[in-house]
Amino acid sequence: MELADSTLPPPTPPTVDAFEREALVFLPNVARYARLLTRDSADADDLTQETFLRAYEAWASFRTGSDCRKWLFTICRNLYLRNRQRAQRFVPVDDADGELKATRQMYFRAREQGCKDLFDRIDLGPALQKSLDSLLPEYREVVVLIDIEDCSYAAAAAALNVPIGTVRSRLFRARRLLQQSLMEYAEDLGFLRPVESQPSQGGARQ
Amino acid sequence: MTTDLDTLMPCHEVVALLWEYLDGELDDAMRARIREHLDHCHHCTDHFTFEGAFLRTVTRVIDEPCETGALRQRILTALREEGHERTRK
Repeated sequence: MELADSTLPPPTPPTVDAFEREALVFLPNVARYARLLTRDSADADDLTQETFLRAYEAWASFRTGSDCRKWLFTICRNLYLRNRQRAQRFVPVDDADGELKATRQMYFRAREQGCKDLFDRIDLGPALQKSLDSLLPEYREVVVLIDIEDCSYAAAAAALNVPIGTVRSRLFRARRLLQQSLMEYAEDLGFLRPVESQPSQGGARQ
Repeated sequence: MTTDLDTLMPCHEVVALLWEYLDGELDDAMRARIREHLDHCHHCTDHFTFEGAFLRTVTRVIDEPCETGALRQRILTALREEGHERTRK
């Protein structure tokens, strides 16, 4: 087999310039991704640097033309999962169907108040960021894998080494929690009425 | 072509597959059944549209690149050192 031929020269590392052009261009995305995973800027910077050093070492095995950004995310995630000390804590066993029902209730509430376009109407970025930071890592990781990396539920389950049902229930719970916090934010801004004081009829408070 | 409304999936079954549908997790046959339901049920269509907007918001916010000026320099320095090391080996 060609690769076993010891007479072959070792793969040449890329020039830093070439690597900078093709891989380092995704630094802002990878740094963002690392911050989502670690929630600590110093840890995120270390993780990001380690990701690019690993990618540089393995550049010869990266197929030109494939999705470099995605490949960098995979390296970053694998390094994070390997290095992370999993805290011995209780993670609630989630009820996916119950989470879906709660999500549906939130939709009903927005609809009743004439806010079906809530997510397009106001800038929810700051609230969402805060809410993501407050999620348990087990929930945040699933959101990151599925909503950024575009993983299937099965791929996320394999990456996290948990059953697919766990991915499903954690994802549904994470989304319900995120949505709930966005609704509370919209409430604070006066787009939605608080639950307790809702009259039986009427539109959104402006 | 008309659809026999009695054969449509009920709303509660469709809503139970909401996230799997939006995440592209369902097979073609099930997707078609849900699409058929949505074509006839504006309540569920509105709900799916609402949750689709939520997912787009999440993806947009969490995938926003961040400022990395100093980190970029740090990595470039490390890469140059790494390249230098490897050339010497």
